Amino acid sequence: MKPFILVLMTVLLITGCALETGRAIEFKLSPQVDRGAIHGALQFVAGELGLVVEGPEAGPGGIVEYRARLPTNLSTSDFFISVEVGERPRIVIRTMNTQTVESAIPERAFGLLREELDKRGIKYEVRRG
Amino acid sequence: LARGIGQFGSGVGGIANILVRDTVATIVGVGGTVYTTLRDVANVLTFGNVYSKGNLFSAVKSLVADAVVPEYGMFGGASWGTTQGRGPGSILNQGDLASYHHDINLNEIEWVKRNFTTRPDAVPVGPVGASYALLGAIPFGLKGLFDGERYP
Repeated sequence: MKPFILVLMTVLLITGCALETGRAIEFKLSPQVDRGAIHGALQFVAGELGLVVEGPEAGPGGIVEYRARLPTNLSTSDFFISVEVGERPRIVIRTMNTQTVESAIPERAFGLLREELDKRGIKYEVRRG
Repeated sequence: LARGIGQFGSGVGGIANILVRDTVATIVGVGGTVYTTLRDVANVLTFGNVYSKGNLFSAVKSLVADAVVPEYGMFGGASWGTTQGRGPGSILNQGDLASYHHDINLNEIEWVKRNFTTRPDAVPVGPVGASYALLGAIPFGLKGLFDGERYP
């Protein structure tokens, strides 16, 4: 009985994980990257898309995060750009599965960020999650 | 003797910190389960018009995902954490730190590794957080491997 329950829970959790919650496009950056340059890229993209930039907000493990999001739905954001300027720098464009944001906005953010990072000579690797 | 008492006190304080944070994370998680369930049910009953833009399939998908993935802390759970606009200042312990990073980049292998690291960046988890990590390790590990995830 116990193995059956374990298998059932695993299947349910895999189902839950597989059903989850939107998409992420991650720009992995070098630890040596100029933090000011990536913050500048975020400010530019936020200005182009009319996003509000919040932060920096610090957390454990050397996390320092800026976040840009649409000015509406501040408490329940379904699209945001997270910029980590702490020990492990990265930029992530994140959409939730709430579908209240037009899919064109994240794609436009991706194109603009790529242009800005290229323009500033910042090397990156893109990962889609 | 004074040094010994000091070290003993420090050890007790450290364990108390772990247990208090684990308890808070558990209570917050239960609150999160109530919140996400009520929100998801309302969303399905209104055919996805609470937050799924009238998409009933998406509404049912969220309901199922939230129902089978339990909440723990400020970030553990399918749509619990950054969905409510929380940032890294809300992280309660190492399990919550792992879930925060997963909320941002959806990397399952990173979630597993951060939960099982022997050099935690935040306060270690207590018994509930450890159970949560054990419960999530197999499905997250399998999904991460299936998706070809790696970390770092």
